[in-house]
Amino acid sequence: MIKLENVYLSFGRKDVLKNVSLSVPEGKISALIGLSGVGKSTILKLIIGFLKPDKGKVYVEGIDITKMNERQLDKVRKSMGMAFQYSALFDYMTCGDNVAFGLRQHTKLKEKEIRKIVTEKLNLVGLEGVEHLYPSEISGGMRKRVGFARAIAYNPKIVLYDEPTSGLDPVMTTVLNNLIVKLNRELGVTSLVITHDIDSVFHFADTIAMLYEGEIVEESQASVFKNSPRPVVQQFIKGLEEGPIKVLRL
Amino acid sequence: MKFFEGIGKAVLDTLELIGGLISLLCSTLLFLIRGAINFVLTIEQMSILGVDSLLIILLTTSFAGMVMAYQLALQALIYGLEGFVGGGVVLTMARELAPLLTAVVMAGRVGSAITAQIASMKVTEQIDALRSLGTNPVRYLVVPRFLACLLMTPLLTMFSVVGGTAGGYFVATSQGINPYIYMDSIKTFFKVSDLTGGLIKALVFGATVAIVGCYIGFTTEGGAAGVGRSTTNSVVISTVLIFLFNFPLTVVIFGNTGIK
Repeated sequence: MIKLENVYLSFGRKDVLKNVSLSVPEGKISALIGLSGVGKSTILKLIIGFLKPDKGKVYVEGIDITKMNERQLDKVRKSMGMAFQYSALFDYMTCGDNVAFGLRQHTKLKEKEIRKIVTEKLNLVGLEGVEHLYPSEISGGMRKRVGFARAIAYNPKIVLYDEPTSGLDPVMTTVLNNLIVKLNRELGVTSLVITHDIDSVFHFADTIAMLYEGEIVEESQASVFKNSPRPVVQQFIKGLEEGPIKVLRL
Repeated sequence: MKFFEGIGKAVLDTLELIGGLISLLCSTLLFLIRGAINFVLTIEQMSILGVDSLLIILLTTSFAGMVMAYQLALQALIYGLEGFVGGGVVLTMARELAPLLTAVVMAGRVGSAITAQIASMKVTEQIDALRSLGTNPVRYLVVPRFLACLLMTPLLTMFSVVGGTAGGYFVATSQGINPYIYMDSIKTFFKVSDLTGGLIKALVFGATVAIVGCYIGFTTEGGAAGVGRSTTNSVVISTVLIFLFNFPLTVVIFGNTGIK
């Protein structure tokens, strides 16, 4: 469904991705983990076409998107939904209008039908009666859920989640993790979740990949990943200070 | 060495700015040619950016007309040139002051608002969200604002000419200039081409305010501080470009229209 093949990317003199290859299987939940600032979100931006790699290929549904122009990419993006780290809801629109945005832009559905879909999607993420509220009037967890509803409003085949549980309390974290699983199972979408929340990952992911120093150091089934013999993986999973991952000592 | 590095960076930054502005203008025009216009958003922007600016623009230009009439009337009454006051006010307003002052107010009020909104959307990933939803930000955000500024700046300039001339009339007559002489002077000196020339300038200035406002917004980095910086830059760059463009425009449009 999604495949990165020998991808290289650098910003100025900094090599962010070095020969990254990654597969996201169809209909499954895949997680990409790694330290903060290691380039996880950069991979999401490559998949959705916001960035182009210096070298290598990015396949979405079997088509290489690296050579596409913005107009062609817009068409590909309609088959994807993205939930942003800080929700990225349009703050001048109500939650209902946020969810309806893609439908109003790209379909000829009647307003009544759009409103019905909006309510349906909001209910799916466990929200009721927030259609007329602005993003500033709801909590962070609710904003994330409205962001999820917006991402799935257009019935995408792929949903990308960028740090979906960062900054949330443990209860809301569990609610959102369950929601990711629910959306995956009920809608049959392919999901890629970027996170460094290790407890969440083993809760929902079918496959896990770890990015470290610009390379994928481990990519396997969740159960296999947990027992990876690589020290760098074990240090990250267990959150150890000592190990191959260099940390700033205070 | 640092001095030369500084000069080099400033040159590169300026070239990048010019290139970015031209590129954004071309993309916007391409969407317009293709007819990719959201009329609802355009009308909404015309109201926000144009209609809501009317009062402040009228106030500014009326007082400009009043000051000009006051100065002209002082000299005219000494030298017996009352017949030039009305014409002087309306010509200056139509050709120079109305388009210029309208554009400067638009840069301060409208350009800053455009930049602040787009910049805050940029730093909160709302622009990325637009793109992720298969919507081109230039088409959705720039085209309506560009069209609104393009249409509303000349319209507001016309109001400015009327406001400035009316303000001038009020002050000139209170200074002792005969109202009939003031009006007759306008009829003698003012031609429609003076107004159309000013409106062409307003068109260019309106486009400048919109493109600069949007471009600076799109290139914003660095959170709330970045938004503040961009808003200031947008007003400064728009204002400088308006004055910069005004001179060649004046030469081209009014170069052969001296009063004989």
